[in-house]
Amino acid sequence: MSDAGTSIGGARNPVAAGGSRLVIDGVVKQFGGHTALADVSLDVQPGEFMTLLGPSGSGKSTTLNLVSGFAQPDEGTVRIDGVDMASVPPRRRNVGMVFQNYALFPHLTIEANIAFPLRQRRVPRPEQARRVAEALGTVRLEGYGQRYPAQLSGGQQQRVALARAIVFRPGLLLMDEPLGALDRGLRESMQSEIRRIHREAGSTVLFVTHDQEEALALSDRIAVFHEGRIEQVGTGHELYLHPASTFVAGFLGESTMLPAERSAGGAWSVLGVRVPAPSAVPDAARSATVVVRPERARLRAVDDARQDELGLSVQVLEDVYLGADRKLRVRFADGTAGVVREVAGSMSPWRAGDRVEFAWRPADSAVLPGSAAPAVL
Amino acid sequence: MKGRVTGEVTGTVTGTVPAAQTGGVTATAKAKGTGTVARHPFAVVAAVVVALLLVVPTLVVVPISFTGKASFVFPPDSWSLRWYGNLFSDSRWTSALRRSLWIALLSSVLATTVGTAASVGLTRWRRRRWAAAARALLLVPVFVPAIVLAIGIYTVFGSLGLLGTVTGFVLAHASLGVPFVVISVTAVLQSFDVQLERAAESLGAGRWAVFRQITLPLILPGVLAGALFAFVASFDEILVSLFIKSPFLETFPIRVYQSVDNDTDPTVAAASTLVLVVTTLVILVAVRISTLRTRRLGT
Amino acid sequence: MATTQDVGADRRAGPPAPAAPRARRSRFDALLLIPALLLILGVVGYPFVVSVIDSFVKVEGRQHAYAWITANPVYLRIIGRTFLTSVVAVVLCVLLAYPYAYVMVLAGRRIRLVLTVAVLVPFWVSGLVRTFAWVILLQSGGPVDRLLPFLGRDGLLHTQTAVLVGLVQVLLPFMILPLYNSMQSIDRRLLQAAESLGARQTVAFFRVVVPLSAPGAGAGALLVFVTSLGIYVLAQILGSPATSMIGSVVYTQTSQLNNTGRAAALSLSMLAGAVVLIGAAYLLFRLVPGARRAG
Repeated sequence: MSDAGTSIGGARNPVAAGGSRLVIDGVVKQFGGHTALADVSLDVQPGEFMTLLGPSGSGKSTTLNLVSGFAQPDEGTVRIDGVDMASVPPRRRNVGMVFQNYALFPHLTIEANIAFPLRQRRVPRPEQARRVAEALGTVRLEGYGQRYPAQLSGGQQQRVALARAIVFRPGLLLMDEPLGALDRGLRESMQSEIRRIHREAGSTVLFVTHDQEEALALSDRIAVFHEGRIEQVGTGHELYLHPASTFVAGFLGESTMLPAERSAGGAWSVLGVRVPAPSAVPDAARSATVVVRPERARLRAVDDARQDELGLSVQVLEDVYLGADRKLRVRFADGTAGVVREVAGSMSPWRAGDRVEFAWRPADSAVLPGSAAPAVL
Repeated sequence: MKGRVTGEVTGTVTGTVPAAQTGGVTATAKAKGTGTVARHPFAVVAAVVVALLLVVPTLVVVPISFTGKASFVFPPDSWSLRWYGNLFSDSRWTSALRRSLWIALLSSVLATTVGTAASVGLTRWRRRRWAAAARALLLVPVFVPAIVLAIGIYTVFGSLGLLGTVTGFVLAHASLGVPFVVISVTAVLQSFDVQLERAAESLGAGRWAVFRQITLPLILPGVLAGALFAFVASFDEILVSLFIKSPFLETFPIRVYQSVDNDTDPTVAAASTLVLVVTTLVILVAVRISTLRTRRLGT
Repeated sequence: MATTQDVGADRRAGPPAPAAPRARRSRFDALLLIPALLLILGVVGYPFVVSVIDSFVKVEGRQHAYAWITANPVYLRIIGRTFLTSVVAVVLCVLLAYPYAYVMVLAGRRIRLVLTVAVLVPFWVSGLVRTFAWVILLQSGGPVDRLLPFLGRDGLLHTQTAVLVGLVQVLLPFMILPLYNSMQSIDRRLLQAAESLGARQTVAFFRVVVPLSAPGAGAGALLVFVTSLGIYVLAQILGSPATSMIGSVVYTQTSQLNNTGRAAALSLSMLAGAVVLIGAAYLLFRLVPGARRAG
């Protein structure tokens, strides 16, 4: 496999060896009166696996279309390896693209599908054959070359699409929800395939998904899209532990979001319990949101207070046993919903209906400006 | 007369053949279907009668073509092959046949070329209202009775000196053929996945390469069906042809018509049998090809 | 994301420069229509306009064409006969096509294939050949005459019946194919639902199948009607002067008498009548409750 890796990062396109650098700068895109992208900027490093994550309609696919060249930005620029793409048509961008429904050519054999980009580039026949075989090897589909797309399973079609997108050694690989049509088990094995191929090919990847687990599993960095803007860019770890907004906190993983208020005297409190003044919140702000990840909270008996913890009384609504861990859904006095996760070995005795305290250490929570839309049960 | 309208149903036919062949419906539906049909004895009897009415009467031309006497008496009491000999030796028949094939070929090529280009344009044109209007205009020859069109064509061709010329026939037949091509090509274009063109483009193909290597092969069934329709529409066309013919340029249908109308010459039965056999073979081959293709593409 | 579908929509607000490649492309697509439009406009559109003008302007036999028509009630009668024949042909085609298409839809694969070929082969075989076959069958002393001698003294050839029989047989595929197509798309479960709700087979057919397949029937009816109006050769071969339709008069006026103004006026009068009739049928069709939903 390693020799395939070196040749796919090959010498024909020296930039591809380390992947291309993609810079999106101040891009605005409108459709009719609707703003699809409002001032999006993103700097993707050579060889990086960058995921655009967000709900549908948040602008991630539009961004992908601007990079592939199927749409033009109204304002701002897209640069690949320093070259402004404004006047470069899709076919000259040298960008590999994997489509959501694969877009395999149904009338061509698998081999001909994969050879297609090479044919367009007038690569000599023997070289074409060699590289097609190599690409088939990379995606582990040796022996399938003579079949037609309709004769392959969804996962196999997916791999052909991938082989076709990397066979011409593009410096930049775009993937538009490529795993969306696969079932769960297949999706996980394809994730590791994609990781391996990315490692071997070394090209920069821009990956679009609305699935947060997929984003966390694959990416070097994740850009979270929300209503045509990028809310936050960072590694999965950063986004999870230090979400920059309540949207990111809510979209990536589960969390309990508690409303914090500042009294006239300047003291902060959550549902009547005093909390330390948050540092990440502007001085003038009157409200904020405390975000507690489920594994950072614990449920304790009312009389079990600890010095370094804050506690709020809750009622357990539901406890779901999941094998390796257990999930408890709780309700605060004002109706706000909360969630706590306990791992095997340290599970509490509480059951649905119990009245207990929801406790966390302030250092383990994030306090974000603004108030989240309350999740009331 | 019949060729003119054929095209309107092109979409239907191209849709029908594979559906009938591959059993378009799922296995369970099929099983249910068979059960259901048995519960409709009246409909079944009616369908059998209609099927016989569609197929059987035409077959009488076959025995007549082998008759030994110069009459249409059915069934014939003696047999011979001389009417076929007549058909292939009488220059009135052979030249009319050659000319009709030539005109049909030229007008089919013309109609298919402009019709396919127009269909692609119709599907892509972003001003949808204009596109709808253009489409309606291209379909006019199907929805206006031929007799109405024939008078105008006669007048205009007369003033241009096109009466009785191959050019005149090809232009007239091709414009009657365009709607069939447009209907059948736009039908396949509608189910064509535009994403494939984008994929090809992203893989480095230029506009012509995308059309040549991706779009055209995938819409080919529609294009070929359209071409076949346009060919038959021309080969079969009689009404407009009667108006623009000259004594020096007659087509095969005109010869058939004049023979039926004036003589009792079984040569016309031989000619009809020939048409019958060739058409049936062409359909069977077309059905076969479309089946193989459908299976391979898994659609 | 739904919004990506609208890429390059006309109402773009942004600066024109980056939008240029897309716009150019769209204009190029429209250019593809030009050859076909030129052909149709040149061979069909322009001549049509010419014959409309001729019908109003030309003076033949010291008479304007429309004055000539109104002065000769025989032509109005012929137009009337043409319409009547065509309407009867449409009705017969509908009656014959419905059970056939219905069985096609319900039948298993094998039977459906046979029925499909049975309708496709005549569909493709020259109408002229099929008309000729009726000459053999219907001639005096022919097979039909011998089997059913009571139908006519000299056989059925050259009668109104012969014209109708030929017309229906030649045009039936144009009714069956669109009808089958629209029936095929009816959700089978609707039928099963209707039956399971206690509707008898016939009731299910008339309540569910007929309204839902009305668009296909309408398309087929239009085709049969329009084709039948313009028929000439078939009426010439199977009919007689007593059964003559508008096509015969138009042909005589044009190629034998060179009265193109009169021919145009006759055929345009018929076309106008057809448009009115089709419009009325369409409105009537819209009033049928089930049909509107299906359309």
